[in-house]
Amino acid sequence: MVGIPPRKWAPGKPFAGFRSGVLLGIGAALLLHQLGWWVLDINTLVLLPLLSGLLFAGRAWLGTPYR
Amino acid sequence: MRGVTLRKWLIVAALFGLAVALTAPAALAQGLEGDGCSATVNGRTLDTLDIKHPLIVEKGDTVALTGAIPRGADDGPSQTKIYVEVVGDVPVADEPGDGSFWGGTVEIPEILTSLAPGVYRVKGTATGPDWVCSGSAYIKIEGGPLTAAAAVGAVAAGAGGIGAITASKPKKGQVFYEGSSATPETSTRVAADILTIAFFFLMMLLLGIIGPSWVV
Repeated sequence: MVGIPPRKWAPGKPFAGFRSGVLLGIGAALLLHQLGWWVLDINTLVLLPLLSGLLFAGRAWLGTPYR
Repeated sequence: MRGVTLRKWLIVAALFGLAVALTAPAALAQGLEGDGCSATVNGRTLDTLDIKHPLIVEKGDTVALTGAIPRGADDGPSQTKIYVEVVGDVPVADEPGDGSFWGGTVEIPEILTSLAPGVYRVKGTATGPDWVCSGSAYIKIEGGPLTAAAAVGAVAAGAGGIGAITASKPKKGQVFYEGSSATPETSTRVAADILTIAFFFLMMLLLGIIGPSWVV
């Protein structure tokens, strides 16, 4: 085939992405609590890490582009 | 292939948006509840102690919640319970009372100032023979420049951030493009990472506004 080859996405590791996203969310919650941005409640200490985990799991699922 | 990728993005974005929308918490307001009740914390009325203007306390300080019961109510024995909100209500005081006043006092423990200072919401509820008064306010516990919680938070955020970005790399030895000499498209990858990080900050922004707020 002549021309630019098609882009292909190689999937990453969604479970590792989820774990890391949860860790990132917990760390961010603790740091921002120390900075006085918010209180430690179910939203910041549970909801934020879970959403962060889902977000980065999705990013890992999307993977890396190759051409 | 482009359609598959776009579909993946849309699924991730839709799930993320749905999760935020479904779980969006109610605003964490503070103030007084109960007809005819009054209350102050260390002499300041509750409506002034929002998250942007909390009561500043240090190690050894006391937080005194005091108030008057509704006029004309039965001034018999009452019970005041005080909680600190940390992923649910943590009881910190349970004091009996009598007469036309309600309230309780809590001393800030040293362990809190050294381990996890920061902003907290304090709630108190008093129950009398025929009345109920409750109120809440924000306090800011002052600590040192480097606290255990800050250190743990920084390490967790750093490790999590690195792991979250590297998780999008394919597994070692993964063959996905047989017979080709494909190379990673760095610019597209970086764009996807930036978009994901932007989503993460948007999420914190949403939770920060809805949860409580910005800068104290």
